[in-house]
Amino acid sequence: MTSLTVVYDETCALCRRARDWLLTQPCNVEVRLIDAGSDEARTRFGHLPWLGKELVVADETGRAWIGPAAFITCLWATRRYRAWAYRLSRPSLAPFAERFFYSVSKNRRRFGSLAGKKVECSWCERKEPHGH
Amino acid sequence: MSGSGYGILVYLVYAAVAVGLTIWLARTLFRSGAVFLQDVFSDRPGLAEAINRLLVTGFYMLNLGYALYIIRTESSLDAFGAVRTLVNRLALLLVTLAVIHFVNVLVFWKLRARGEERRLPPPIAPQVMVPPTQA
Repeated sequence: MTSLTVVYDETCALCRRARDWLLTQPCNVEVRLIDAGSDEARTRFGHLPWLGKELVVADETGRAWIGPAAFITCLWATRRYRAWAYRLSRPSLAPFAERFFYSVSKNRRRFGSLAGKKVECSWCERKEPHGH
Repeated sequence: MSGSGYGILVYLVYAAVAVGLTIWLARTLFRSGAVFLQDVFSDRPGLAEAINRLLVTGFYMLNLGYALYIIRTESSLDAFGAVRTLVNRLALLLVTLAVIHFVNVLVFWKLRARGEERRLPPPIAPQVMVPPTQA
């Protein structure tokens, strides 16, 4: 694997913070972050029902991870937290990690407002949240 | 003047043993550590050597400083007292050196484990397939 495409929800403040964090991390593979509402995301990931609802991560060959597994794969891509990716994937910790990432993702809008991050998303194409 | 000869003798023997031990241990550490570090920094051999040198320098400073620090003896010692002091101080020195040495080995081991992780695939298998990126 040489590059990882991370499709994040650009309409939530917490996700934008997480994106900014990931952009500053030294990584073992090239990490590209794209908006879930962008044309590129719709073209390549449009057929996935999770697009914009869960974190979606794919490598250059098309292997993709969804939700908690995608969070772990993002950790794995960083140089500093790769050990944590393996630790959190152990049978003893995996259920907790999965529940944690799932609930963070599910409550991301609430967390974002709790943090008081009222960042206007001027670069986003789409203002309304995902989901139907 | 009666007993001062033993005190001096204790100092001299202790210093000789401590310096000898430190040099021997540092050389062992340097030689074996090089193998570990070359494995971790295989793409940058200069960095491996630099880190090894820095570690061994720190090891010398810590060991020699500590060895000189713990030697406290009176000038008036009989023969038995001199031997007892010497053995006692050397034992303390050896135990401390052993602890430092094992910590060092642990650090090397962690570094190596980290280096190996860089070559491992993601911990979770891919879940779905999407079209590959256009080259």
